Amino acid sequence: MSSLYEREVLRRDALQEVLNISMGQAADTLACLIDERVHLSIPRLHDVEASRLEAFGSSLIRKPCGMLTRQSFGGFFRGEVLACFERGSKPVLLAPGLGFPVAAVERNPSELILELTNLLASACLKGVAEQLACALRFGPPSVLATASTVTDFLGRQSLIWHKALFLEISFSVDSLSLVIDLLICVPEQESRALWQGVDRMLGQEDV
Amino acid sequence: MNHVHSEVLEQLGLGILIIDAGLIVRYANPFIADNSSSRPLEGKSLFDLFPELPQDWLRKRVASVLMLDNTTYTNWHQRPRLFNFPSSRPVTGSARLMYQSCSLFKVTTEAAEELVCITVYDSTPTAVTQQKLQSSLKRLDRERAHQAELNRKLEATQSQLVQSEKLAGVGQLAAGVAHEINNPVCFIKSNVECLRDYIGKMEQLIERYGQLLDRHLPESEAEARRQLVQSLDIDFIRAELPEIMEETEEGIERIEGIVGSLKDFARVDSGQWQYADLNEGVRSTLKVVHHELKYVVDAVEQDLAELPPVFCLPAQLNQVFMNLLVNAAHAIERHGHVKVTSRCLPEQGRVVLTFADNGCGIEHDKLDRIFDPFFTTKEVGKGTGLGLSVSYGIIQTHAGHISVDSAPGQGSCFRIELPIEGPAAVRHTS
Amino acid sequence: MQIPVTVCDDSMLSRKNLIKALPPGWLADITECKNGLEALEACRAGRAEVLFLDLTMPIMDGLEVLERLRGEDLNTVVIVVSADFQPEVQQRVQSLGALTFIRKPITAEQLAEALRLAGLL
Repeated sequence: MSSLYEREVLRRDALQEVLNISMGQAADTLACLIDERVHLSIPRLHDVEASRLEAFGSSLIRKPCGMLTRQSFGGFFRGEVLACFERGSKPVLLAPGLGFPVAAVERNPSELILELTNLLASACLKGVAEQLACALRFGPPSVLATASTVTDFLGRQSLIWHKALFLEISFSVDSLSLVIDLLICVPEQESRALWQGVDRMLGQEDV
Repeated sequence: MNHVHSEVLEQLGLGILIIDAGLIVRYANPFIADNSSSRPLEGKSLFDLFPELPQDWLRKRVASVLMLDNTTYTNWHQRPRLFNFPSSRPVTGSARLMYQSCSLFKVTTEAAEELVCITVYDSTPTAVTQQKLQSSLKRLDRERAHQAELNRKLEATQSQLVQSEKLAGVGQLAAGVAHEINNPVCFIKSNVECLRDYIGKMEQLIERYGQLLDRHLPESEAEARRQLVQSLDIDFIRAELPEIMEETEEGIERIEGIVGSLKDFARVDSGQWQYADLNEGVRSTLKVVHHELKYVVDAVEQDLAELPPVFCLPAQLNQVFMNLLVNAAHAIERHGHVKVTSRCLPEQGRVVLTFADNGCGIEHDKLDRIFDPFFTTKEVGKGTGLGLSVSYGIIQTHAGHISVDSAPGQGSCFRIELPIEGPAAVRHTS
Repeated sequence: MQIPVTVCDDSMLSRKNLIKALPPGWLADITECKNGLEALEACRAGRAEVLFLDLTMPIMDGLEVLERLRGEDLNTVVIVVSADFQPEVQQRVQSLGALTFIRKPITAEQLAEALRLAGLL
């Protein structure tokens, strides 16, 4: 029987691979809509403590500052996706591909940014749900801040959670110098269900 | 349960619209249908029924939702509405048209046909509340800025008031002191004049006695005489006396000067108000102080623009000019530069005069005390520290403003602003 | 006769899944690698007549491995197995000389089909 440590390593490896596959689906969604190559990051799992946000902040692969958006998901497990559209990037370049009039987006890019958040977040999590054979539902996206980092934003809130699992994934479109950073955030009491789903998937694979 | 589901859709306080890929309406619940005049809606084109809809954008959203099988959202904040439905509060509400948050998602029929469901949520209460909040915040911000400005003015007024009070207090003291000192000073002066006269006469006598003794004193007494002269140190005393007298008289003059300044200081608001040419005042003052300035500057640079006649107490303003010029000269160690300028600001009804030097300058921590009575940067014994506070009082009387710009090693520039029509004009406009 | 096969993927789970999905009775001498650098070494050491190659890996990714392999004349058939299946990536992979592309999550059928295509089944 493998040790607790080995099981933990296997679980995390499995979740990372589940994310990798989901990201592939999300990237394909975006790539088909905008007809450009989309780059995927290697997903990174973070165990975050609300009292030690700076430590989390420094462990992030990318620390963008820009417009922050969020979208809730629920069903088999509950959480929120946080997205950051780095300041200086031009999401307006995606406007034609997504059917948004360029002039309106240049005046106010919020609607386009929210739709991008929705597209990527729901595509990723749908992929996760399919692989874990469960169901997830989504709420509408909204803007959290116009120029902030995730850690600064969370630092300003009085958080109702102590520990959470943050899954760090990024999509970039090189030809348009655009990077979209996502954090799939699952608070501890909800992540149990997520890990159960992973265990069940691994059980079927019969390791 | 199917019947119950249908009932729910009919009663729902949320708009449900189902269209096919060709954007033809398949179903619309009463929330939607009640807002259209061409009923029934089923079978009609969405864009024919609601021409206000953004067609290209909506087509793209429908296609996207069918292809990706996800949900897409709109929010009143970014897009106030899709449909021009009237507000549900036509009597008590403040908005004419409904604010909406909508969503689109795919539904598949039993016959495996793919349709799109559009939900329409009335966000008017939230939208209106948000807008009211925003305008309240803006108003609060404006009020806060106004308050900050008032505070600033209050602080400025307060410091002026403090300055005035100091002056008023000191003024009374000065008047009393001047009066008290003046009496003894008068008889000291006349006594000293007397002394000078008497000493002169006694000197004459001693001189004459000396001559006589030289000629007629027997040799037996000569030695006694010499010893007496020596023991009394008479030669030294006679040599010293003139200097002592002179110093005493100088001392008295200085005391008289101080008493004069004190009296001026206390007497600041007397005199005749009249229209005067301030440039003439500057020029005549320059003549008077020429002897003080000639050692440290070649010539005082004058840049005097045309000034209208200013309603003032000319003698007092000249006193101010003199004070500033003498201060400038004293600030220059060996040789330097003094410049006087005058300008008119007709739109503001004021004239501005500046007195600048490139002397030793004033240290930063002393700047806000230089107009205080008895404050001086000169060594003990030189300067009374009354000049600038008197000048401050005079400018105040004229409802003007005096300020200084200075830095150690870089010199100072004093700036006087005066209302052309005098203090009464200022009181009427403020 | 065992065919030297290298499975390259940074995910241990993914490697195990692939190995399990290989046709039963297909004899292979399997080397596991977790990044492109290790895969290149395995190819050069003659341990990869067939290389199952993931694309998103740290240190050296799959596309770079394909580029390097093109320069070296090694007897390796590359079958790309990746979660990133967008059209431009598939085109690039083919143009860099990969035999075929299998999209994750893989099935035993797809794997068998790819091996048939390579003439190894």
